[in-house]
Amino acid sequence: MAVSQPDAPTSGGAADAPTERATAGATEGATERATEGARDAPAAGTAAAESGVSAARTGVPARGGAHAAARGPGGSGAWWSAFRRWRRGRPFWGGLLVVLGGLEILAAVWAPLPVIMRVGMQGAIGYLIPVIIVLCGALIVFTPGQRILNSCIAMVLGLATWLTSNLGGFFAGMLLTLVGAAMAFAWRSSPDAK
Amino acid sequence: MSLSRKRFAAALLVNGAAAAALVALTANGVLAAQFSISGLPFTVTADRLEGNGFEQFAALDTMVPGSPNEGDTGGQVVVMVSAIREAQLTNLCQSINMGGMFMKLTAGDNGTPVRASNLVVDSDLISGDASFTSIDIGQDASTLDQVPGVVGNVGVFGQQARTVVIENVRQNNYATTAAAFRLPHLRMAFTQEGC
Repeated sequence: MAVSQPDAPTSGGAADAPTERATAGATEGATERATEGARDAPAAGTAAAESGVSAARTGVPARGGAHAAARGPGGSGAWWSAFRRWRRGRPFWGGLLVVLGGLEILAAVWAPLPVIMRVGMQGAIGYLIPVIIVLCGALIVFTPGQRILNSCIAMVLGLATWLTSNLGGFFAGMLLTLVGAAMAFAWRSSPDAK
Repeated sequence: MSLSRKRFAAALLVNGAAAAALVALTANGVLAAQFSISGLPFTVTADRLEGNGFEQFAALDTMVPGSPNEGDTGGQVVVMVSAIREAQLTNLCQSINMGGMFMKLTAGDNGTPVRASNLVVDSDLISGDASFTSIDIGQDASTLDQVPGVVGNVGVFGQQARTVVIENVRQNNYATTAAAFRLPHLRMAFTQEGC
């Protein structure tokens, strides 16, 4: 049974490709519902998103199938619009800027690990903080409900990199992180909420 | 994507104020900034370097097998590791080559020298006019004790000194440095030429 229906929602060990499609479908559903819910009650963005996820869970096979078809010949437009809907349901650009800022800072301090060990882990904090910034950026994108906490952490750590990591990756990474975190902090789930 | 302008402005304002304060405190030499750079070739020059506690020894860096930079070196290069416990640098200039452009950082050029602690540098070129006091040349690199925590491998040539003064320092560093710098009169700019 499970073999003939790879997209079945009950299959716990779903293969990678169906899972990916299911996620796309789920987020699509969640976004639509979140927007609808937000229109009804502007403050209920998170709850609406949650219900959207649970609702999408039951409706995944059909959506997943539709997606697979859309990815066929000439399906890039559909894929793009699905991605756009997914993007609009979360502080995507803010999160992306935070991730990029963290990566830039990390690239500027990148050194082989033995070198760091030799100087007594003195430079370890310079690695640790940009890694946490990248994590915060990813969490902003993938768990939009917790964007305030994650963006605040990213802001504080972004400021800290000025002292710990080559003046914030020579200022560029710090600037990206701060602007991205401010964007994520200011993001709101519904366009017509005040 | 919709942004709340008020919240965005408030967040940017707070961030900007905090960042400006950090930059100002660093430029006044109150806060020390941590450096550890690698993967990018960078040059450090200074008119004068005074150090307390100096160590120098050779180390062998091994390249990744099959690296295109191997040449005839067999994949291994000898680097000089220099460590200074406390250093004061006048007219510090540090430039990082970013492919045609240089990120140039100057500090310590208005009378107050740059202060660095636990400066550890892997370089392939150091030049300057140096004078040392209480120098031990040829000491085993594993027994060096002028900079706490920095020692070489057993059986490797090493030298250390209690104090060091180098005029017209120029270093080509390509591995890493990790140090806390106090940078009075800090200035950063992108320029066409390095130090």
